[in-house]
Amino acid sequence: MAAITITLLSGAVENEAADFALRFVNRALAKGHQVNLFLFGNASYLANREVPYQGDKGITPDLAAYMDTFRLADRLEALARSGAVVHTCHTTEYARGTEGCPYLDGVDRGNVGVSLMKFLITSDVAFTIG
Amino acid sequence: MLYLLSAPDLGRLDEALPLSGDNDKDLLLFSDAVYLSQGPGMTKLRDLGFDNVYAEKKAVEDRELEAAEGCEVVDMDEVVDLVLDHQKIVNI
Repeated sequence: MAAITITLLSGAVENEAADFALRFVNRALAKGHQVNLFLFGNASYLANREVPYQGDKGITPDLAAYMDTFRLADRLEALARSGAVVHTCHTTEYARGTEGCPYLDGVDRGNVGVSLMKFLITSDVAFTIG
Repeated sequence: MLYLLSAPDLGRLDEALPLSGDNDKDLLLFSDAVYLSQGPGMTKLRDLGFDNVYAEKKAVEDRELEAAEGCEVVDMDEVVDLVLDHQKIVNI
């Protein structure tokens, strides 16, 4: 078993990096590896609970279903339940005005100096994506 | 060394390739970078000196592509193995 750290730089929708990273985490966990996921920069947007709009969405059900495929909250929580350690960078959250927003279950507030450093020095392999 | 490339931008590779020095140079294409798995792209990648070129299966299938000879299509289980085998990963 290996320990792997992924630093994810991108949020959902802007590109496919977040989807790629979560699929990687899923398969790495399935193979018995330990996985740390550090949400940095725009990836910190993935850390927070969703806030559903209560009014008329103004989009068709088909469009909503398509857009739902980009939403990663449920997948991220499932990976955390399966053992992925997920920390976010509170400084990049601060810069985006989201630092006080509630986290998804299994996501913890973190930082570069402690969280990411601890991930890196305890990992066999580390890489950045995004 | 395993390079990860997400966009079909060969300029990024030019800048990053010296990082691997004399070590093996392998490349994993994902996202839009899998367009480089086609014939003309593979010719350019071979010219750049890559030992092995891989393309992520889902990205290839989503775009209804068929990788050219010399490009191995790999699923995510194999991507995990590639990352662990290489140890040194550079995202460009």
